[in-house]
Amino acid sequence: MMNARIKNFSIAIGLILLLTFLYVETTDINAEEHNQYMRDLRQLKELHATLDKHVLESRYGLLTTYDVVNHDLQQILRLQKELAQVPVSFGPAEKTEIQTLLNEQAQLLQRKASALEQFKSQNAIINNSLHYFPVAVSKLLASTTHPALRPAEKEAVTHLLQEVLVYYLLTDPNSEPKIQQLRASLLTAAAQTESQNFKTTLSHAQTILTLKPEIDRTLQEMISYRSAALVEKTIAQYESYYQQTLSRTNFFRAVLFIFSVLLLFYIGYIIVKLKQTSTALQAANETLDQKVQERTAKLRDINAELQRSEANNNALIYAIPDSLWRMNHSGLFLDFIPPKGDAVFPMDWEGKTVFEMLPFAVAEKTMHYIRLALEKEQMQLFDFQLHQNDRTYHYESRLLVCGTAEILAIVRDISEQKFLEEQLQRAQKLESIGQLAAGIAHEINTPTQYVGDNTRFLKDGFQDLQAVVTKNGQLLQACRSNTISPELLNEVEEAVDQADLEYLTEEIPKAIEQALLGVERISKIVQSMKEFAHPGSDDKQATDLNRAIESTITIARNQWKYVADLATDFDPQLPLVPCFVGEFNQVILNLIINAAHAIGDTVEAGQQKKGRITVHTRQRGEWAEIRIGDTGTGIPEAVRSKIFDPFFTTKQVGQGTGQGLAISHQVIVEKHQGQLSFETEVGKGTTFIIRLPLAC
Amino acid sequence: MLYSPKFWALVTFALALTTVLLWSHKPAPKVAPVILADASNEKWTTEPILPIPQETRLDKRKVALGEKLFNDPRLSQNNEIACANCHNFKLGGTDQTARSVGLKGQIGAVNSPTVFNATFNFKQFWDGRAETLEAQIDGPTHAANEMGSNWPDIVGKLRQAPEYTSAFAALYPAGIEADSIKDAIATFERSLTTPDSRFDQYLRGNQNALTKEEKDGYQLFKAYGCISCHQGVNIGGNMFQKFGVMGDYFRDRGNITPADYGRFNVTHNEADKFVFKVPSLRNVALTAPYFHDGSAPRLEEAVFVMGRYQLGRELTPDEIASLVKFLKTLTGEYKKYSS
Repeated sequence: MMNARIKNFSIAIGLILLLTFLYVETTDINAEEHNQYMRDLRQLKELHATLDKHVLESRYGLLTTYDVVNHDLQQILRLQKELAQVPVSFGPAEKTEIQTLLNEQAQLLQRKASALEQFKSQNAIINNSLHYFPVAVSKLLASTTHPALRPAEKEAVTHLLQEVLVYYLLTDPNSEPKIQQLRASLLTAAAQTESQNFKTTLSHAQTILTLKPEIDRTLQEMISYRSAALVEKTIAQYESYYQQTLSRTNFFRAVLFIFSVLLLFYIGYIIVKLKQTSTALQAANETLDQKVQERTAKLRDINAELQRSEANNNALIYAIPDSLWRMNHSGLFLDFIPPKGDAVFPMDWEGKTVFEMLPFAVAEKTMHYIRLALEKEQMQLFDFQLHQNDRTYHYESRLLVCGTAEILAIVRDISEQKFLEEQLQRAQKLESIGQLAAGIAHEINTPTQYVGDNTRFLKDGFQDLQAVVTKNGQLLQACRSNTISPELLNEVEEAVDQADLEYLTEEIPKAIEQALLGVERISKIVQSMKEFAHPGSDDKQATDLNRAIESTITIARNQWKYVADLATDFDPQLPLVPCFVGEFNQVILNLIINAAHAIGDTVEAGQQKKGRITVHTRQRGEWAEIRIGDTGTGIPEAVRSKIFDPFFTTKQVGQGTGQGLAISHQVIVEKHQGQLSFETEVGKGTTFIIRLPLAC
Repeated sequence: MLYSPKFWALVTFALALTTVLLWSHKPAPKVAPVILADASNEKWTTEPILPIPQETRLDKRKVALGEKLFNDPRLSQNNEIACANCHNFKLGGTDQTARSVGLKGQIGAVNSPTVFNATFNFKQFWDGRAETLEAQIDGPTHAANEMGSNWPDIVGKLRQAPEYTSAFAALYPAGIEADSIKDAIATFERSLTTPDSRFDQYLRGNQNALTKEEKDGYQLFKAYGCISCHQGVNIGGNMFQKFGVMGDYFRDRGNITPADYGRFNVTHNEADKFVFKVPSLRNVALTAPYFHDGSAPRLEEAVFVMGRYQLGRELTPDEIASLVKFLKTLTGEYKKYSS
């Protein structure tokens, strides 16, 4: 295709070049310029002839002013200058030939001009002498003043006049010596007479004699130059070259004519062919049209499909409740799809940065995770809250790296989930309370029993004592009335014996003490329950952790007391720690119950008779540290990483929901910004370590 | 497709080709016969002296510019000497001094010829070394004892002059250059003609323009052979002649200087020694002193010297007076160029 195009193009260029060449060859002759040149040449020839004619006219006195010959000469010079430009495009050799001829003419003209000047001067002088010589002779002859000429001299002078005039007309070189002889003798005579006129007359004769051959020579020379002939030669040469060029041009004209005719036929052929091609092309076009239409229809279908698909995608995007943010590395929003439902977010996020659109803390957090995501090229998950209309909205943001240095954030409103979590937490609390209830009931039942037993003992004792007191009252009355009868005394003694007063005196204070202890115990349990079940508040409150832990231990007592001893080691210096006390209690309870269960497993396995739970509190720098250790099974390596996951449990179905540690983790880490970790050794036990920040 | 641009391009090309074809088929033009102008002009043949043309066709602006330059002393080395210094129009276009005073008081080699009617001279200078008026300008501007300058200096000075910049720009594409300066001055000099002298009026047919004595003087002028050299429109100025044809002028005068060699200084041809351009006799009454050496203070002396050394005649005082009367009728009138 490309090659064919280049080929066609080259052919076209070639044809045009050939055509141009032929055309240029036919334009070698500019008829007008040629005519002008010929005119000039012929005029030059004519002028040379005219100049020669005018010179001769001047010589013979027909022309009395040299302005004419000067004018002729100037015309010749002007023409010669013009002729230097040969108009017809001859070959270089021909041109040089013509130039040479023109140069020859110029040189000749220069010589002619200088001869002309010579002629003018000589002509003026000889004419003057020729006019004056006869006058001078006649004056001399007629002169009567001293010194007059002698007759012989007069005759000689007359003879000289005749001879000089004849010489002037015929210029016979043979007669010249004779005349000179005559003149010489006269000159001697003139010298003798000392006549100025005589001398002058003779000098005029001499002038004629000298100048006549000179001026003849000058004229001869001028005419011998045959400049007109030279011009004629130039004309002939030019003409012959011109004819050559003309025939050459005519040849090229013929070639051009034939070539043009051929080209015209060829173009006609091309036009016909083009027409055919165009018809074929039209047919092809129609087929192509059809194909294009089919293709277009197909494309249209595909497009519709794509549009549907895109609509679906869009619907999907707009249907999912999440908000989608596309951001660049510096937190500039490139794209923003708002969340559905409660419109917490303002609109028009595009082109703004996180710092403009989000509270500073949230923006900082977002940027932190953006950097992390970009650095690690991993998805980052974080939560944040926004406050609006006295409500707290919880969001979960997933940052995905997409494109270069771009982040897609999927932001989900998890307020509902949070609410459910709280509900779950509460439920778990209730669950644990439920679990605890039996134990607590038992715990309360025991003191209640012995409070009841002691009270019943006191009731019996009181009845015995009342009998003694009644007999003693009768005795006292008898004493006052001195009606003491031995029977009465016997009766009193019998009553005292019956009552076993010694025993009662010893036992009743004990019973009272025990009853009071039981009541106190019940009261403590109740107090602990109250504290544990305290719903807490929305804000953290300064809490005595030792006391809170103590309460929890108390209400959980029934859970551990059969398998373990529990030792507390509280730091009395521990300051009040800001915390959500309800949630905190729940965590402690979970950990204690877990400890008890862990120990319980070992006891069941017979590894030990009774385990030990230790609870420590300490202040460590900015943290309050609570350590809850057990001598249980320890956590196996395999599950260590999972223990904080929700619903992970190693317990039998029905024994636990697997929420305990997950919720504990959430409470300590997320709600309190604290730390929850553990140290464990399989077979030796586990220690959970809680750290809460002392400052809010 | 059928009417695509390609199609039309082809059609146009074909049409162009047809035109070329038809043209090439046309027979070559015949060479037209040359009609020669008749070079001979009758008016030359009547009298040996011709009147000065009453009209000249020149570019008025160039004449004005040339006049300004003619009077501008900046054309000289020390900005003191203008052309007009030695060619004073009030003194017949000369300085009426034997030899002119040039740069720093230096004396010229020959007498300043008049600038009037110089355009009718066949060559310029006493020795005819300049073919044209333009070429003549190089002489006095460069001669160390005249204006002593050179073209780069003159051009440089004139380019500094705002009055010239626009005038030259309007007339010459090249602006202020030696050639344009010369053209302007020469054009002005072509306007310096003195037509309508009483003698010219006589030549044009007015018999009353001359007195009888003056007519007699003219007859004598012709009869005694003065006319042999002093002929044509400028009554001279169209040929060379030796000074001292019939007698040795220079031996008689003595103290020969190189300038006395005349034409020889140009051609170095022995025959051209003491040959000078025959000066014009137009306004001759105003251009004293006479000859290239300024040796003749009055016309009478000049006529006497001419008679003795050129004609070989001892003219009598009467004859001289008669000739002088005729010569005085040659004074024309310079009119500032207009039209």
